[in-house]
Amino acid sequence: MASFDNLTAAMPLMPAEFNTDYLLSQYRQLTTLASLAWNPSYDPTLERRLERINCPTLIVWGQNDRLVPPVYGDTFHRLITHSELIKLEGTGHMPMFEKPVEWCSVIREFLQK
Amino acid sequence: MNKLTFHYFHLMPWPYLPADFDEKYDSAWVTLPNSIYDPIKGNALYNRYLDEIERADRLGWDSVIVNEHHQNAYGTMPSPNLMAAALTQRVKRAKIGIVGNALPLHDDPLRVAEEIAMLDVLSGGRIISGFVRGTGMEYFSYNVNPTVSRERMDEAHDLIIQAWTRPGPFAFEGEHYNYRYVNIWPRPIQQPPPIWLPGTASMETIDFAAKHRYPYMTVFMPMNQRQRAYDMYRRLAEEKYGYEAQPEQLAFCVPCYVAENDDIAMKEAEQYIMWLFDKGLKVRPQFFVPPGYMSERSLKAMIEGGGFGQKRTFKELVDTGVVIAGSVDTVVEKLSYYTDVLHAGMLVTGGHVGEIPDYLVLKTQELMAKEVMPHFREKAATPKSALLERK
Repeated sequence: MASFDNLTAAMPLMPAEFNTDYLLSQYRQLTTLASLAWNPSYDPTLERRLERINCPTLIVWGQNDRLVPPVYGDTFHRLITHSELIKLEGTGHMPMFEKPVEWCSVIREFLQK
Repeated sequence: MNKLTFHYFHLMPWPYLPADFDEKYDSAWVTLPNSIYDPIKGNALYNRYLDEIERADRLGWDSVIVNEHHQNAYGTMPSPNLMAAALTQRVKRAKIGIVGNALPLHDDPLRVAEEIAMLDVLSGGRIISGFVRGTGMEYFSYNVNPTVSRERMDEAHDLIIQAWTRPGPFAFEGEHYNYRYVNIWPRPIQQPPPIWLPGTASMETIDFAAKHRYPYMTVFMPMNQRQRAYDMYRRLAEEKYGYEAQPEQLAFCVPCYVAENDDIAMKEAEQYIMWLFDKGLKVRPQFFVPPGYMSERSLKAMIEGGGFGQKRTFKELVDTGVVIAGSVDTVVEKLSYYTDVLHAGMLVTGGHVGEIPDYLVLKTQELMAKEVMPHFREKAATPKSALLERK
């Protein structure tokens, strides 16, 4: 839920009933996530590797992202030479759910350039 | 043979929680600020606890037991092997249990094999070596991936047993642990030291214990849950592994308080034992079951069994068998249920919880040793007063 700025946008993902099956399915998903990302490794070489990207790049960030704050977007933008940064207002880590129209619009616009 | 053996278990808790603990903190684990711990008071407390354990030895308990927990007020022994080392110099007769070392939390289980071997030599072959996975909370405190907890447990277990019993040097190659040379000095006296497995009734741990014929210890759970765990152990032993489980393979860890009569016991025990359940075991639910820590089968059984996170009164804890409190006769009757009905043969219990004063700990220790133990001994023991014997 921390991913969402507007909790009503998360409603389609909520189950009709909180039963054992739902809890187990959530546990299963979290287990998969943990098996991949329990120990996220900080990569001190990322900064210099980002500079190697030279193709047109779109960076879309939720203005109210609490999982990966927008300052990371600023840094990516600074390090990727031909990048464009768009921060979407009124959304957190899940702009594709919270602002689907704006999300699609900025991507479509970028791809048509 | 004794119907029941008695094992004095200590958590070494930090009882001095702030007055606003209930309102201000949602967990006694992981996130409780360590500014609450006062090392000067801690020094006095450690020594008091060691005195208490030494007294249990003199009173005739069969073993004294310490265990490993991290970053919490419930138990302040992140390295139980250090406490066991101190105990080898104080405890002259009883066995010394470390129940247990949390194997998956350690990146170098060979160190555990070496330390237990040292302790076994130091103590003259009196070590009981428990192996545990650690609580869910400790996977946060130690930042170990809980999804590989059981794999690491199994592999570390195999490595340690080999290190203790197989002539070295030899190589050990595993998924998580690799050693070119396993060749521990010293080797333990016991080949190997006895191994216990405590658990909270997860099916996988019971199966592992039954497979290796290790004693399985149920911890702080209602009687019906203990019964199911023991039934499962016996069934697995018989049907899957082809032997008949014995009472000395079934242990029960239960807070046990004895006093002059039932009323006094209930009143005094409630005042102190509730600390364990209301404060010491206060845990954020997400810390308790990290993802992948439990199998879906065990998690499903836990969800459907209910009870997790439910606040229970002291009377409910006593009525359901999570706690034993009463006069000598009452305690003997309740323990007899374990020995005669559940056919479990090892009681694991301690005296110290919360801010209980030492004279009440001594009272329970002495009543247990002098009045309760003889009912379960083949030959009645005649322990002397710890106070009189004290130098």
